Amino acid sequence: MEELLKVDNLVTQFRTPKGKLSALREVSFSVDKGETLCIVGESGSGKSITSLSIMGLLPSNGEVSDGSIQFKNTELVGKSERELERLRGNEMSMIFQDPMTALNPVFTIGYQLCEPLMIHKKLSKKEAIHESIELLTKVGIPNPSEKLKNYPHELSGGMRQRVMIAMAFACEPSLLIADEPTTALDVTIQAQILDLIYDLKEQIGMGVIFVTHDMGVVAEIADKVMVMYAGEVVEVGDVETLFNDPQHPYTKGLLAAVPNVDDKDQSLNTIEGSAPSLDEPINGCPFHPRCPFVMESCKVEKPPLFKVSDYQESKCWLQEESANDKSTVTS
Amino acid sequence: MIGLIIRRLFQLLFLLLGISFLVFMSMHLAPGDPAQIIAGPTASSSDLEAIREDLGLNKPVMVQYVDYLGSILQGDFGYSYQTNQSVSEAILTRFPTTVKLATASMILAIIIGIVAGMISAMRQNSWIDVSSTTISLAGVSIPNFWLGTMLILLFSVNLQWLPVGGLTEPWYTVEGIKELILPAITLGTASAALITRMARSSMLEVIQSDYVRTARAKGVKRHSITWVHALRNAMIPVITIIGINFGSLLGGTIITEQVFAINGIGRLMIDAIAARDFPVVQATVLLVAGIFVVVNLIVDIIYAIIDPRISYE
Repeated sequence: MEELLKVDNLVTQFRTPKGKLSALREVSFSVDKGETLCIVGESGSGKSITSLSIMGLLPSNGEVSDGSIQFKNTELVGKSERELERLRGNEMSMIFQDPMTALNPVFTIGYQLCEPLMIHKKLSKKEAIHESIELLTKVGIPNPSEKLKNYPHELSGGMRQRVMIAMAFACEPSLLIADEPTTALDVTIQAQILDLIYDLKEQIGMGVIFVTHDMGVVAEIADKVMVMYAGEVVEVGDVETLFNDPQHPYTKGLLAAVPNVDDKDQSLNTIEGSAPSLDEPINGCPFHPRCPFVMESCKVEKPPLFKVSDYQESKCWLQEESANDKSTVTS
Repeated sequence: MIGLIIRRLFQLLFLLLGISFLVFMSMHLAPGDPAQIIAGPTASSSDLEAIREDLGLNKPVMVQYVDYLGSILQGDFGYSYQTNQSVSEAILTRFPTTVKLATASMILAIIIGIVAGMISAMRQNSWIDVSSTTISLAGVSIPNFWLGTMLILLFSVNLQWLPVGGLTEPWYTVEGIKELILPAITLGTASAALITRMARSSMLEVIQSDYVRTARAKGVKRHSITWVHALRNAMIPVITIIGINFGSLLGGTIITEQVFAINGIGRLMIDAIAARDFPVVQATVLLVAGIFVVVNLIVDIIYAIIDPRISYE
């Protein structure tokens, strides 16, 4: 399939009073046209920073300091703000976690929805309003022409997220980044929103990066899964392989931590300890202090990403042997 | 909205009633006898008695107050003890001057404050930000009588660019504007500094908000994010400050008018207090209190216009 996005050895750093801290360390992955990549991991693992780095929306103290982000074969790292403005909302767009705060409280839904249409598609106000009504209908909002005159506070959380989705889809982007779009919503609304994103994705045929920590959601929508830990990719694989045969101890831990409703006696599995903070110096594998399979080599040297099969890569010394006869992906 | 205006104007009546009582009592209980001041230090006691009789000052205080209320309800604010001029007339001739000064200062403060605050926030920690923060700290701290004197010394006495004082020419003439510059800066500096600080911190908060990030994610251009998406949200707390600050600005006119020899309400009030000119003091204080309340009512109305979440129904 055609490659849409290729991220290579991405390093994102933040300037802090303690000096420059790396939030992403040599993150590499790719997304094909029409493919859904789920990024999973604990809070602080770098999922959101990965999305914001791609969009060029890092907070003012953050910057991509190394690596490359190729979108449709053009390099995004080093592009000017003006060039990125032309892509954002047009070629690639983003849906955020909290619909309650993601819309501007002092402008109407109509104003906010017309904006990308007028900027990128150069529609007149009248055409943009017409198009907005269609978009709202598409995302399942009743009385769309009335709703355009509403302010965000007059809509429920689920409705606001639908508006956000309509905004993100307005210019039919090739890449959609959804950063935990259902986390802040009721469970019943969650399913509707997931279905909606899935349907629209199918219609437009775009690539999706879906950030979540909900393994249930991953199983439902992902083609490919990328597991992140402490700013690094620890395992990548297609969804079936990864769920059936996780290689990295962290992925195994994450999957084991999903509660099973059928087994009432099962005690809830957790991964002992907590993820290292950004300013903690890490020797060897960042997961080794929490890893049940820790070996001496883990404490000394960081493992490279080993190719386990054509569909799976894992950054763990345990895979060294199985990967021995195959070439390693990165070193 | 109309309900709010009616309700607030109704409250204003009670507020003015309370203020009139406080001012009336404090003037009458304060030491100093207007009859003595009018007649001079050599007057005989029968002269003083005659003056008191004439002004109604020998009646019990409560009776005097009720009489006073009765006449102001008929629009009669009495006559100045010093000049015998009607108080309403004295106020009407001086009021436009004070309005001119206060408006010019406020406009200056709002423009400088918002622009400086926005630029500071957009370039946080740059030299522009550091200097604007430092200047605004100085601006809040400098007393305006000192600032006024220094400005006169520099621009009027040494450089001779601007007049030393007075505010008599119409504002739309070159002379009128030249007269207005120094007093407006003197009176507006503290407000400008306060608005700068508020606008800066409010803007910093807003540009880090989720909805600004959403606007960027849509591809909205940087300048329209700043001046459209962020500005309107950032203005909400700034407007509160402007409303509250208007009170101290009115207070500041007293000193500024004194420094620049401007015949406005502030100077009228100071002279009247010194001379125990009760009717003039009472009327000017009521006027200033009324203006403050009306300005804050306007602030509340502006609120509802810029923030759709605020409703007074």
